[in-house]
Amino acid sequence: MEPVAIVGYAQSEMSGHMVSSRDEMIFTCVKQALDSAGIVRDDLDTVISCGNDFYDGHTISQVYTLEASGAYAKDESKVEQDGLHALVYAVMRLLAGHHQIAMVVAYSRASDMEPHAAVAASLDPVYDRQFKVLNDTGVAAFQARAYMERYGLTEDDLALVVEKNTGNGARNPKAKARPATSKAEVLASAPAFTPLRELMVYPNTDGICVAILAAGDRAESLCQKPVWVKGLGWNQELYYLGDRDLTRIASAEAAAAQAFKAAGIGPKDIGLIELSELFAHQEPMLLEAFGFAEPGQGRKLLREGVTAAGGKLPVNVSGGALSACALSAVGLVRAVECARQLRGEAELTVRADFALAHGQCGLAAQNNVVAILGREK
Amino acid sequence: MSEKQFIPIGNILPPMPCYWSVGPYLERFYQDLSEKKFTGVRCPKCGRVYVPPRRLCASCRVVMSDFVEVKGTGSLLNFTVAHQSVNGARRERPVIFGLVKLEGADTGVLGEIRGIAPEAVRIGLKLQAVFAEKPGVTVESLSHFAPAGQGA
Amino acid sequence: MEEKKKRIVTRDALGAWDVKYNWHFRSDFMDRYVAALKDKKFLATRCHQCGRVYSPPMTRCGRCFIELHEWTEVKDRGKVVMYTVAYNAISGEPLPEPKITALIQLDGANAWMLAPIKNTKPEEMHTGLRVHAGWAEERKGILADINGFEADR
Repeated sequence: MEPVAIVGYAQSEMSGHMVSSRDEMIFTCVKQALDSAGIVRDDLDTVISCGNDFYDGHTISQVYTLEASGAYAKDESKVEQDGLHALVYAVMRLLAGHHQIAMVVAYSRASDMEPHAAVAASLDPVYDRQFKVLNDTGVAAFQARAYMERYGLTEDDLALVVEKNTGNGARNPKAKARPATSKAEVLASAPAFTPLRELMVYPNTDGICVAILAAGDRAESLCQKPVWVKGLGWNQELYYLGDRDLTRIASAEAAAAQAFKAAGIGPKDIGLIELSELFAHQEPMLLEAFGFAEPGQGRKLLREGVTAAGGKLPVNVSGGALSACALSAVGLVRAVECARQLRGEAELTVRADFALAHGQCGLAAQNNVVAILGREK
Repeated sequence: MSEKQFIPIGNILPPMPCYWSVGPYLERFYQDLSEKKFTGVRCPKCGRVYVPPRRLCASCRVVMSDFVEVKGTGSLLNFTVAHQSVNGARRERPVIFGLVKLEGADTGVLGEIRGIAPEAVRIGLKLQAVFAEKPGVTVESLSHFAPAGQGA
Repeated sequence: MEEKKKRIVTRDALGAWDVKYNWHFRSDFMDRYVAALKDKKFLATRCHQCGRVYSPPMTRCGRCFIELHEWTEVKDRGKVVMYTVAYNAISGEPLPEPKITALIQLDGANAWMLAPIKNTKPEEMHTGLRVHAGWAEERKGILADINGFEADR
């Protein structure tokens, strides 16, 4: 199998207020990504569009945006999960050998809709949704309480995650949906669904992210510093709230294990992590799931400064989902941020040979996808 | 070029009502709920009792058909106090919402918790179901759960 | 012989697509196009690379993948490229009168414009039919200045 690399990328400004219309934002971002890879639209073999009908307000919504995505007269396919799933699909297309250059376009705009109401539509319609109480925050709140009660976490632990990540995000010119927020501000924010407070929940964001991938020799001819996809893993859990053990994210454990196995490395080889923590409690949970801490010990990594930007294993130096979270794009943004780091293009450089990017979708991270990226082929 | 402004065009989707057929398992559950009873289903292989009932056992993947009645009393497995509505807007009055493990069941049922201050709610709280005066079509037949011994 | 499986009918749980949408699009393009309607003019944008003329104006040419800045004008008459006659509303309820919707290529444009056809019977419709825009008596520079299209007689 030929190795595949990320050879170009672009992100729009990810902000809570409108920068431009959806079409324009996608068009601009795609053009920037093509420029970054040194190619033109004609060079593209395949485009994977990652959007969601419920976020866009159209069915089969990517047919509307595909012109702006540069997919006119191209072999295009659609993914309705996270942008990182779309990246997995693009990699598979390249590995199949029929395509040499693939582009992934992932986007959503909170200013077009109501994100929490849209995600609430993933609740079981014949029972759970009939109560008209829960949305994604409500379900995540169940997960937070189960995890916190079992391992003795407090609100403080969650607030520290927000403080770290938004502090990092302030350095990132793209992450503009939430400014640097102190622990005190988080604890003073109004409750959303207890134990979660408003500032522990991802901010409503408009954002586009584009990544261009190429296989083997083509990647090397296009790009001085290709970022190689070393391993991929994805997995999902049962839907039913009563069934899941909400004190751990089993599908993230499986996804990470699959990715590490494919890459032939382990957690100790990872120098940088970008994970999609839509809710603050999910950061320590995901770190445990990936194998970086024992169950319940994820918060220690934060408290001991290990996951700070200057620490031994920085997590979300880009600001993470708590600084900017355009649903559908958020996982792809994590991969692009890892790529920026591995190429030495980030505002604050972290030296790493391997980076781990993560995306999620579904209620309380029901579905997880992990990509391991590296400098060497 | 002039500075770009944006015109918002509000909801112009035609109303799209959905009618989901609840299926035989929830049909039985909702029928019994309207008669102030909770019904679950037991897996013939592992013995797990699912409330509300469904077709396949999550671990054994076998079809279940052994319906059982479970009591309307139980304990609180998990809960949240909702200060926001489904679309994220602030609620005037917070709602306590939880997952309740009924006696005899192995899974949790969702329901509102009333009759106790939000600060006083704890996992493990003993609860009893309070049914609606007039039964509804689906979940409305269950009014809420109240701390056990309190009555309606 | 196998007995046919009995069909089980169960109750319906009601719900709806319950999200409020607020789509945004650039007003500088729309404003310019709509303002010209006051003078009974249809403005368009032209791709300087392939020469395609888009009316209503597009901000981009999808084929050439470039932004468009060149404005031009097209006639307020043209031909029907395609049409359809609706006898029912979106809900499925029958309409009091059939509604004709057509894709019209205005003279000078490459792209087609979607518009209702009025004062024309379904039997009179055919592809290639010449049509012209109906204009409101009092025009204010709003979309409602266009009062449908009708067949040239």
